[in-house]
Amino acid sequence: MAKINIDGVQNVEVSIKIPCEKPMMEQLDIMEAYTKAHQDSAGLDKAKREINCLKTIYPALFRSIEDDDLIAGRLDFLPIGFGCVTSVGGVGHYCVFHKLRAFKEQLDREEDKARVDVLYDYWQDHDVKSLYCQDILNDTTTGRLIDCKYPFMATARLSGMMLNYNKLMRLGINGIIEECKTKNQNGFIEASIEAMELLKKVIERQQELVKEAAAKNDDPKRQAECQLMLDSLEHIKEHKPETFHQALQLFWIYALCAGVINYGRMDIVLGSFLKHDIDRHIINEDDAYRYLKSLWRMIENRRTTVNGRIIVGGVGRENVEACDMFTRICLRVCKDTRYVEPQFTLRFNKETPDDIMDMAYECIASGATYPTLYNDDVNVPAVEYAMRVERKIAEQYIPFGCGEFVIQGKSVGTPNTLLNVLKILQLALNEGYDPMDHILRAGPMKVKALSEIKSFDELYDQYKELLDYYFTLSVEAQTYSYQIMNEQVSFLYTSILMDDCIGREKALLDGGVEILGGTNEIYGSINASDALYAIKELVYESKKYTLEQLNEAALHDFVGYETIQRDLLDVAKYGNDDAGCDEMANDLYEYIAKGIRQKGIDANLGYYLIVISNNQTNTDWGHETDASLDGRKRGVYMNPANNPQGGAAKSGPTACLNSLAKFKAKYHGGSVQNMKFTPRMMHDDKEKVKALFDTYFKKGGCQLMVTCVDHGVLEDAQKHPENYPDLIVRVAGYSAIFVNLTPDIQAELLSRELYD
Amino acid sequence: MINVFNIEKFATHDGPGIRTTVFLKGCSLHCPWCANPESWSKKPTLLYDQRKCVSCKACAASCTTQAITFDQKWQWDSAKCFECRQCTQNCLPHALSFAGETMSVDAVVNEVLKDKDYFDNSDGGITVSGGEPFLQADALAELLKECKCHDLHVAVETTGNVPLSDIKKALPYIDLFLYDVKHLNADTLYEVTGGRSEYIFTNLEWLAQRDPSKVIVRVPVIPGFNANQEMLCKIIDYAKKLKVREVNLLPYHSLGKNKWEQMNRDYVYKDLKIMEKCELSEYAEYGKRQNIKVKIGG
Repeated sequence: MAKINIDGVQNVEVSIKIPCEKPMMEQLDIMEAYTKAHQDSAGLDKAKREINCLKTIYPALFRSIEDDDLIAGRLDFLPIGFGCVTSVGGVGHYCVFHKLRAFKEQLDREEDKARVDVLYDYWQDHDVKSLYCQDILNDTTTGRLIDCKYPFMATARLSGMMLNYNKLMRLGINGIIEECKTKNQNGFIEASIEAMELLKKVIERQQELVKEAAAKNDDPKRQAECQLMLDSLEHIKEHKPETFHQALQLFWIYALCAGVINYGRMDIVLGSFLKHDIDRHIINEDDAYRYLKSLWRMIENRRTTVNGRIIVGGVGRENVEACDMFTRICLRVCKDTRYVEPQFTLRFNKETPDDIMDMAYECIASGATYPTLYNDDVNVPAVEYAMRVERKIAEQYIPFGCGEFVIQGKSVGTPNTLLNVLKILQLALNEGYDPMDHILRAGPMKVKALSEIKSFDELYDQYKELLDYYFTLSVEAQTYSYQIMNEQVSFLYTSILMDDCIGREKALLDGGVEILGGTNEIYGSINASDALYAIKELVYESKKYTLEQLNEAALHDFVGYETIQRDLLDVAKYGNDDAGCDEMANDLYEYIAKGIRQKGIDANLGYYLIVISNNQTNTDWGHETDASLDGRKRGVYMNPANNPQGGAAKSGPTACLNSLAKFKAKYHGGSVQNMKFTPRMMHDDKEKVKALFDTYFKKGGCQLMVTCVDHGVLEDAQKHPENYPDLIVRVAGYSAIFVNLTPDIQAELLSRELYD
Repeated sequence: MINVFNIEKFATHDGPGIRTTVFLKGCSLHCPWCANPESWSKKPTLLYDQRKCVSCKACAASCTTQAITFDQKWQWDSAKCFECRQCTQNCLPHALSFAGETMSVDAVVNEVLKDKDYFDNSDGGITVSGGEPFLQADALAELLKECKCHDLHVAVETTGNVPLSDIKKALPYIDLFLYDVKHLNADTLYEVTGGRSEYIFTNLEWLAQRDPSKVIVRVPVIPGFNANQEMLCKIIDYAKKLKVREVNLLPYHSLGKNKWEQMNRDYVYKDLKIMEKCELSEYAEYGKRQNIKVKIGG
């Protein structure tokens, strides 16, 4: 098999993972056991096969409790196993081939290496993502994630699942088993029951691990903490949770087993338990703070890079007082811990209490980059339209990963397709060839030569036709990813807590989930619209150059054509509140957003929406994208999310935010806005900065993320990384430790305007 | 038409709330610490950034009147310049730029109005600064009248070094004067800045008498000139006597230094360090004791 390259890097991985604590040979034994279970279950129902495989890794892969853990549950993963996403392991039954090779290289004995080779060969034909890639990738249009030579990348993954933990809290493990027993006993339901029984075994294993931890430390305080964990574990094994700690413990164990890396509206799940305990003096706020700090550390230690969402606040919450109590403690934890994960997110609206908004501001001004702010007054009606759901459902929207929206417990919205619309513009300018490598990437589309193009509209139409072609490829690839994953796996733990898989007696992608949506990550859209605007101005308005002249200059990377590059750069750019180029940006945005959305409707998806919420792919993809007619040189990073190209926004934060607020939120499924301010401005001009944010939100701004960093600090951190181990910056849809980023990503961050 | 050399959005140091500051060309003073020396001339001023220059000399080659010469050193003779702007267009690295542009009042107002939502939400508005705005008194009055039609809060930052009649032209449209008081000794003031006390103090006293709540006294605190306890306290006492609403002490900063270099002029304060806010905190206390608000910074 292997007509495609299965060996590349699969994901954005900024954070350095904590290695598995088990000895190498034990790891190899587990991978072999997993593989054997997969082989032996070949003829069985896919759900049965899945649970048989899961039994080989759970609870085996749970690792020791750390000294300061207040919640039990640390999980390793191996190059072979089961998962949802590439950040922790892989997708479905997975093998991460390059990691397996690295594993092999660490072995000494030839016979052990041969054992790895057997696994490698087996998984070439069984790794779920590879099965997908074999069918969908090709040499011209569609590349794997991450292969930036292509205008389009596709993958199979199940990102951003945020489960209905309320159900787990309401029913407990036994309650879910009882519910399953009332259903038709098909393969899925039977395997679900086994999965919940397996969860009990996982809990029992945690009890052993806590006892081991307790035996290592006879400090009375630590003994009491261990006893608390033991008591909670004992309780949740057979009963639904009653206390805050029990609820936290159950949630955490379940999330680990489900392989999910975004958690969702935790104030709704845990707030009422917190209030219950505080009202009855079972715990005080400091206890809750310590428990949550421990949770923060557990999430940080999973190192899922662009995920780890905990969301609080906003509309659609029943016990608001309890939820806000939870929110306030989270804000304290967030400010004190300064981790890159969890990606702590505050939904707010006009009714959000002032003290919470103030705490959020202080947290941001302290340099934590969190919370990320989401404006419910804009987002709820936008989601209602975009996803075509009732308001009550839209109220449960949540951003995951880098900012894609899903409905908690109700929708799948994984971004399995990614488009570089700047590269596609270059195809439109070069008869379908990519100037980067001279490969024809237009499929069956006929692309006119520039000499045949007589007007701006004709050029724009040609671009739109190519976009349409790529929209079609996208939706086909997205739906096919569900088909392949569904053929192979049931995603049992995810399905159990997603409405309404148990009710329908079907696995998630088998018709179980209520809303089967999806998202398409869009890159380079501002470079593309700025390029179009420059063409419009210089070729068709001022007639200073012909289209061929401009394109010729770009093909030479502007070497020898510096005057043209300067003139291109001097044309107004998005991000400066300039009516003309902002209108171009909005027109292109709406064309892409509406086009993708309609493709989803036509394909009977619950929704299929663009997200303009990049991670660092704008930089990676920029490396493989030729010079563009916004004046950008070959290989330079592209614009981040729907923000201006680095260095283009020169008119201050109000102008930039005015440009950003022009895009209507109802056409996309998540977008992110990054700004950098100095600590001086955040503190000395606090009221003015607050008014700035507030006005932007009133004008329709849907989201904002702020990095607070001083002049020269990032530059100095590049030179002396050892002095800045905890300098957090907002990359785009996620935060990272600045010194962990590669120099090219650092350069892109530096290029962005710093407001002082 | 009005001569403008900069429009700064989200200006946070030029009056209350979020503001857009419009900087007008022309000034009758010549303060040696000036942060905007390109504002002095009423005509556009050519700025030359040596750091960006690659010595291609395209500017000199394109200059038909020999206003630019570039033998050993780049030089510009404003008297010979007809502002054809060929030099800036031919300067690929953007080392040359003109400060100063004649704009229609409507164009300025439209640019300012783009941030009206931010003004309304923060009790902000427009601030006109300079240079000395009242040197373009008629155009200024027209601009501010238009701003008032759009219900904007209007502040004007002025040196006061103009005839009162010029101030009166725009007076009905001004909500707040940010009025510079640099020194109280008339001779020193004239010697160092060219400011005339018969204008500056007379105008200030007239405005304060008329409505002191519309006046904030602003003092650029300059080492070696007025940065001493005696002078600063005297200015605070003077402001108190006039019953103005507050005094702003603006610590010396060197942000204008590059501009002096770009104009081929010597900056006498080039070795001076930026003054920290805390160096002036005692005057905030002094103000409290005198029962007048003294703020450090704009």
